[in-house]
Amino acid sequence: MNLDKAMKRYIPMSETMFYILLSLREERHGYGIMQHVEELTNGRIKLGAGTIYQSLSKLNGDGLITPTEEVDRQKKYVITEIGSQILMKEANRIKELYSAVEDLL
Amino acid sequence: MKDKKTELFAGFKYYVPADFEKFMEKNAAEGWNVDKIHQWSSTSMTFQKTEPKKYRYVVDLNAFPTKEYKETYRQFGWEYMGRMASMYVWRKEYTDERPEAFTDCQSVRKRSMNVFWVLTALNIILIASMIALTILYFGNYYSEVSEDIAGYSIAMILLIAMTAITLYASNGVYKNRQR
Repeated sequence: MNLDKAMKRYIPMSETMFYILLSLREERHGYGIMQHVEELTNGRIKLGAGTIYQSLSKLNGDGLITPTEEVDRQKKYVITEIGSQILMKEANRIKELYSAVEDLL
Repeated sequence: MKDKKTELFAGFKYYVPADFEKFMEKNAAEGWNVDKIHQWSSTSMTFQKTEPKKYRYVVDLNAFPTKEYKETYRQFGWEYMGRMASMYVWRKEYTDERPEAFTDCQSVRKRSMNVFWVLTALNIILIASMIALTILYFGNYYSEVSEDIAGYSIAMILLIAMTAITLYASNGVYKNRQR
């Protein structure tokens, strides 16, 4: 998938997708992602097995992440170049949102 | 006291995934449990009397599961109960908060829409069969094949009934897609 198409499909993205992409800057498997996201959000987001499986399949199918190795039938994934570009675009969008709410709080 | 009971057509009665889950959980809470889900459990399922259990059931339609599908669920502590066609059934015992496998509204909707699309595909097949049957029948109107009006009518009535049921179910699943 090229960048334009990926941008149309992923920006803006759900919180789930954002945190999964963010976690995969380091290679992780599904359960590892859940633990990492739970830590990042101080326990607010506890991703479920079905949600993780669906999201990883989608991101992998669209080439935003790629499998690396398989340990005990658990595939590990890492973000791709295009995934990183999408993550940066989304980060910039969130930054804009952040500056918009700053005066509000 | 009876220690067994059989539920017929549970998979059809509770065609909305969340309803099937609730049905299984209610039985578990009353001490009626199954060890395994089989291919034909949707048609006939035998529960054994056990201690009351606090189970969370999850139904997930996955037509093309990859190798790590089951492993992902297992890592999250889900017990694989079996499957009815492509309907995978998972369960987890819990104490406080009812655990979820789908934790955001997008994935809950996707789970429901997977069921909706399978029902819709079935619908298209049923409607196509009716059209094909009609063309075959009236296309041969003046030949002897067409003398079997009774056979044609029975087949059509059956197909119409099945289409109506499938449409009703897919509509129900769609309406409940956020559950």
